[in-house]
Amino acid sequence: MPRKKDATETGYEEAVIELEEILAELSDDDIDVDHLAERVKRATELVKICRDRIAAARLEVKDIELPEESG
Amino acid sequence: MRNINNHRDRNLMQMPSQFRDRDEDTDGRGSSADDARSVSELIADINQVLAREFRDVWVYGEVGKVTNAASGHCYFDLIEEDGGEKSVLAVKLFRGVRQSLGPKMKQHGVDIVSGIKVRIRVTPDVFATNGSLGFKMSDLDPRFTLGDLAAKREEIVTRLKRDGLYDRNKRTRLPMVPLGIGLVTSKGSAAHADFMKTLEQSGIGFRVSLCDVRVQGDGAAASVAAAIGHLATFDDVDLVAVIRGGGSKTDLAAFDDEALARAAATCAKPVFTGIGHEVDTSIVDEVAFSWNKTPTACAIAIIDMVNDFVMRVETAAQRMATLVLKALATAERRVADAVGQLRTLRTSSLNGAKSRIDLLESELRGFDPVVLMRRGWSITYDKDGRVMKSVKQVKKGSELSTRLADGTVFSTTTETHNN
Repeated sequence: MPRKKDATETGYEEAVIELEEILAELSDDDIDVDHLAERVKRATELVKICRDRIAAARLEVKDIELPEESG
Repeated sequence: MRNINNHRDRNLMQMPSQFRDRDEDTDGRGSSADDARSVSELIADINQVLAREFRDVWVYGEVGKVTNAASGHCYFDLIEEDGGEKSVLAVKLFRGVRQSLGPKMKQHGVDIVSGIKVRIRVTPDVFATNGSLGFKMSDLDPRFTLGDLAAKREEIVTRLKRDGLYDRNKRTRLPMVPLGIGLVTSKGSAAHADFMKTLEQSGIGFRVSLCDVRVQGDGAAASVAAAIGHLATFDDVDLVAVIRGGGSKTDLAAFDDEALARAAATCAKPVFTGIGHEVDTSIVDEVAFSWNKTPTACAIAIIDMVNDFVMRVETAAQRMATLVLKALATAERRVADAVGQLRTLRTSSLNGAKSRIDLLESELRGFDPVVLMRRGWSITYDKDGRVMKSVKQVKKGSELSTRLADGTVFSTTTETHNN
């Protein structure tokens, strides 16, 4: 049975784009400290999503059988 | 068929006297019983005639069923199909001949495998043990086989282009971080081991869904095609990798199969190949999203894409840390200014501002490269302090410093290699 992707696996592309958008916002010298805290919190989450699955997990292998009619 | 009959007619006309005389002397009564020969004698006589009359006969056709015996001999059918009519010769390639032809066949990458066209030299021969007529192969013309393979390929490529399939797989969408790999290979082969070892060494958490298939011989193309189609249906498969080790051109014929090329071209997921031949590409390579020479090169191509993403994220995280530190310094200066200027400000408000700054500092720890360095990552700078992201930035003699979790290594470049 094909496995559905979980939320952290779907968002790599979206995550890095959002991260770079936040970066652009933070480049503004007049950013408000409250807003800064909120954006940094979000950026931390995004970096965590991107790093965790890629670097920390081990290689997984599973065997797939061909259905009878196609094998 | 016509050629064979012509040969037979000519042969009867030139039949040696010991056969012809008897036919002519019969006048309806049959040959004399006194002239009878033993079975082995008759077979020997027939073989003598056949060897003389059909010396140096070249014949062409398609190789049908092939049996490679443990003795080293090879037996195969040579087939001609014309409309519904089928003509078959039983050909024997004895071990000794095979060995003497070996260097020539290897040089041209041609082998006797089912489905290829060959032009071979044969001698007809009645096999004494069962009286059957067979053909002993003594030579092969590799140019004929290669010419036929090239012509066949061109026809298939033309049909794929006509049907709009040639570039279709190249237009599929590849996720930015392809961690789900559908792997089509012969489980336990050297190709399989090389591919997995390279993935493992990357330290990246790939998920491999492996379909064990035959990659050569009868049924190989159909088996690979079915596996590609099946793996593409899995949600957690981002790309399908088709890999096998090197082999002769005819051995790799499965990857020039039209049905397999169509399966790869119409696969909903990007197809990556690593079919292990340095010089030529197969049709499957041509229609694939990404063609790579070897299984290892195929794994590296996938790893590189993930590493590009990792680099993008880490660059963003590093830049973020710098920006936030700068913003914090500005904020702290503003608070200090406020304290100086607004002596009436209530202490609680000041505490509120201070706690927000503390919160920010704790968030910043998430970007600290030292955390990553403890996992084995490092950052390399040139002597001007610029972060090195590519070997292209580094020249022989460049002085570099590499920051690790607990210190810095200074080094001078002796050489660089691309991945």
